[in-house]
Amino acid sequence: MWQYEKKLEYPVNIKNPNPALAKVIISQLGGPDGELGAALRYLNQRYTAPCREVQAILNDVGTEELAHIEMIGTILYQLTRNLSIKEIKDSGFDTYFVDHTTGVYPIAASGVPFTAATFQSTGDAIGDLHEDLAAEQKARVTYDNILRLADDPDVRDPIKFLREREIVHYQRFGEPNRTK
Amino acid sequence: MGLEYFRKHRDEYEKLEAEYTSKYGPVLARQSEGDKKWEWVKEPFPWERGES
Repeated sequence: MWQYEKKLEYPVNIKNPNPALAKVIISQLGGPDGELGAALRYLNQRYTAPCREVQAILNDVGTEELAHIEMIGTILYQLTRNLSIKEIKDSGFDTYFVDHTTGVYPIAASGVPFTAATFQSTGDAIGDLHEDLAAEQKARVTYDNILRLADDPDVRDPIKFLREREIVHYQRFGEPNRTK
Repeated sequence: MGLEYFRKHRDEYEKLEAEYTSKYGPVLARQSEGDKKWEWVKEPFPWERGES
């Protein structure tokens, strides 16, 4: 089971709304290499992991991904607060707004809703761990691209933290591939 | 040593968490005190920040 801690893993305090930026960052919630897929990938893979060390890594990293979903949701929420209809139209956020208003909903930046078709649980530790290594690098690339598109330091700071965690997780998934 | 590092930071975390909850309210729902108002909903949730 899980217990909720009433805090973010890393603070998010965005002062200026920017719905156009929210439209691209949303890919890290519901996109092909986003945090929701990451959490579900690891938390489902852990049952058939062959030893405690690997079970623990999948459990710990999968749990941390839940905290990353919360950070991305917070970024999206804060980027879309107090918008005028003019801002919604001018930013291109109207195509999201028409279905979801400013509710946080997991889709890719392209508009494709979240799908489990982007990840695997093979039941094979070597297959799963190598998918996990690739997944962390793909998420790192998405964060790199967000950093290319975002100027606001209030947004860049938590995104840089999340990018760094992808690298740490990549290293952790490398550990069980080494022989003792 | 890894385990020494773990213990050091766990102890530090526990001290700081106690200090934080005494000032700003519960981090876990079970830390709620008070007999008049459910403390868990007295303070904002963590996404309600940053507004200028």
